[in-house]
Amino acid sequence: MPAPAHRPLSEAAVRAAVAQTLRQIAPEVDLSAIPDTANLRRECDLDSVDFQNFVIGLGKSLHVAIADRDAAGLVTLAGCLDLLVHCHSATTD
Amino acid sequence: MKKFLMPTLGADMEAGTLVAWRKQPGESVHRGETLAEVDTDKGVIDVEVFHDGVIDSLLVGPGTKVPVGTPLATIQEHGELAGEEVPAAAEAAGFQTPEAPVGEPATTQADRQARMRRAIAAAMSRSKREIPHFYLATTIDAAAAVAFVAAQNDSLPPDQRLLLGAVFVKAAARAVREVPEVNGCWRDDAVELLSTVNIGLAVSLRGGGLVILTLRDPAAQPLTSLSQQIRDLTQRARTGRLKASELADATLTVTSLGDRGVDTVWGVIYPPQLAIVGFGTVARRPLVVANRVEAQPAVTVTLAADHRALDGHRAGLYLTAIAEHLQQPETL
Repeated sequence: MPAPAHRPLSEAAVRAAVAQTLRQIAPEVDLSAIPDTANLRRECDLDSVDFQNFVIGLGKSLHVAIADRDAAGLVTLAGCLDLLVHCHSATTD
Repeated sequence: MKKFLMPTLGADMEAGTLVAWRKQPGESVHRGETLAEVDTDKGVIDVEVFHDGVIDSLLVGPGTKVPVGTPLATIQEHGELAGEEVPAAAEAAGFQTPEAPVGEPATTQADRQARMRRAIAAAMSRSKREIPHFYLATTIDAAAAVAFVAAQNDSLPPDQRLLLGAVFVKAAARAVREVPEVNGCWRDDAVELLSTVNIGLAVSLRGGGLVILTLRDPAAQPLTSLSQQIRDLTQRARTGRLKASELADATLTVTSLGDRGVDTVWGVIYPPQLAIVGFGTVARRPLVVANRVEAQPAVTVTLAADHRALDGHRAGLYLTAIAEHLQQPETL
């Protein structure tokens, strides 16, 4: 696994990384129109392959190791913020 | 002299439009390198060369639409004498416009969508018109496969994680060893079975349409690299650019609905192939395990097969073989 990030992630950084990663997978989606609690897979029509690519891209963009058991929580923007900002240590072993 | 041809990317492709050349006469090319960009019903595709050599001449200019199989360029192989094997049709110097251009190249997204729908319509109508389909289904206990993927992924970094779909594809490819009759094509009123198993994976595109991606010999690939390949090809099919070799030469198609779909998919065979395997969504179902009814992850696997080429008994054995492979995912 990549080395865990030791610096805290800001909410703005996570939001930007989610938007940037989604743009590469679902370029036509307007993330600003999607509520934080909405299911991104449903809203953006992401299948399991897209979602794995989303988790890979998000981890690379933020330089964090996202455990497979945590990946399902990234299905909403609120879940991404929860995991990557508020409980950042939970993403690393 | 080798001819570089307009590739055929499946039974539904009749023609393609040359968009741009990446090399000019006199330049060297290497096997696998992209020589041309071609606009097709499946979007703009990079077409690679299959030989090392030097570009001798470019026969078709950008913007020209030509039928599949038309020579686009000639390539002189290293050490080759000039003039060897030059086809008569390719001898004309400089660019040429085909005598009967099939039409103007389309440019807008709407045009491309319409063309893709027409291509799908042609292939699927031909399939239903010509192929006497028959259908079989079985519901398989998927607990072993689901647990295997979860256990592997627990210790793998994200870009090496397994896709359950890759496990399905590999099981379908491995099962061909037991029942080879599903792998091949129907040509000139006869079955042509093939020794290589290339799985065509049906992938839906954003906003509609689909492409069949070619996974070459997945039975021989580790699940990690097969999963990476499926992620890479799927993302490029949806938002980027594919190569001609990634859309050609499939011998058996798999369609998998993923984890947000429905229970069962009954496929339509992609001509001239002989069968299509369908994996429904994995979901908890009541299954009998050790004489008790248990809620187990299960998947319904279907086969649509060409009755000209095989019969129900062998087709059933093929589905059974897939089920057996899925019970031992660690051997895949």
